[in-house]
Amino acid sequence: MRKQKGFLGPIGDDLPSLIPLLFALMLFFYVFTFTWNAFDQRGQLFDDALAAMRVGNTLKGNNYIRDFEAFQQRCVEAHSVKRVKFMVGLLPLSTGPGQNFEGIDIETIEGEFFEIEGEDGAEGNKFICSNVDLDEDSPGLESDSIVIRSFPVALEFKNPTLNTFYVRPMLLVVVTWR
Amino acid sequence: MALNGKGQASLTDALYFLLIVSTLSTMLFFFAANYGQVVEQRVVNQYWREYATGALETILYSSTPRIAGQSLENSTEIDYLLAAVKEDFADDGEIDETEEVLVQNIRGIMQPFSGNFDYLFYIYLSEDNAFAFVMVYTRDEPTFSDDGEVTPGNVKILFCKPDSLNALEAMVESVGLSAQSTTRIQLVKLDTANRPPSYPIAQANLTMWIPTPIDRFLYAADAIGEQSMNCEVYKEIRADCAFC
Repeated sequence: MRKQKGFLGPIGDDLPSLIPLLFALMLFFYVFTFTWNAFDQRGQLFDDALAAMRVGNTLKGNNYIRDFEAFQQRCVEAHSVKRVKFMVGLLPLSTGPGQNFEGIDIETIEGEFFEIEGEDGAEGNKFICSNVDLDEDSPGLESDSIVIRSFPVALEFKNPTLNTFYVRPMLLVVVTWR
Repeated sequence: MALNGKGQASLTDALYFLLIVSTLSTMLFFFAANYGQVVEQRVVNQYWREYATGALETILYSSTPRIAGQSLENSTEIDYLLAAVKEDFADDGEIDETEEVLVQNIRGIMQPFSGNFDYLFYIYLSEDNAFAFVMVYTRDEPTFSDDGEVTPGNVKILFCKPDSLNALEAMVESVGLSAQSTTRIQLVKLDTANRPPSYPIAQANLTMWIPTPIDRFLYAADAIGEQSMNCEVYKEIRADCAFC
């Protein structure tokens, strides 16, 4: 056998067939890795989007917030969402002539959330809810997997001086990140 | 001769293997590229629906001062916007005195989305097959200059009197994907002939969609067939001015 003309050995004889074989394996593993990453990435995107919706739905309830205590109570319930970090707050919506909603700026939003002034100089109540310490970890443009969702809600106000109460539209802004 | 044949056979096998793997890889690649698009669209749709529902409920919950010119904070007489609308309707079967405050509330609540969405709000009396109030918020198509500059279209707020519910549904169907929310409200209608008032059931509806040209449905002169929304421009707003 060895003395036969053109015989290069058991590997050498099959060398040309190894090239398409190796190429096929490389192609398969490349596409497999791409698919795996795509599944993983999209799965995470859905998880984040659904987590933001869940936080939003918990905080807005039936789209009516009676007072600060009701908001706080819903905030405690929203802490059951563990997969993402979140920050939720209320922004006033303008419904009068000449007023304008100025949009959402992720870098400054924390300071813009609505606060009810305290009576007689007492500290006010800020409508903000988060599952992290915002002094140490707040969302920014550099944050990973950031999702922003907003929902209109009605917030009840009481005016003890005039003995009236009224309902104003507000925007519940949900920011989640990892 | 036998060895050469064996080498060719293994090469052919390898090429077939490559062909099969290439086909499978291509299928896998397309599957991966399209994976989750339907789910993603459903998640987005769900968000739009949540927004539409929240907006409609917030419009109906909102308060308004009873005395013109006063703010909510300082007004001594405050009522629900819906109560004011009902009272307005009860007088003459039309929403005319409260239309301005209603429009302001709707615009304010929809403003976070109004850069990306057009919308429609209406109150429909199903028993009478009539509309008490129809407002459409739509924007003109952007214009493109020769040097590639894009000028966004102006926004129009229109009040409409559709010929029928079909005319309105035809318009909504034409916009493609939309999110809508409907709720039942009870209005009051006073009778001038000293008969007891009637309490017609109405539907309040808010529908939002990605801006789409709908002019052919809005004006009677452009209407396809006999159905038209019969709209009139209530306010035209420059694209660079949200609340002018």
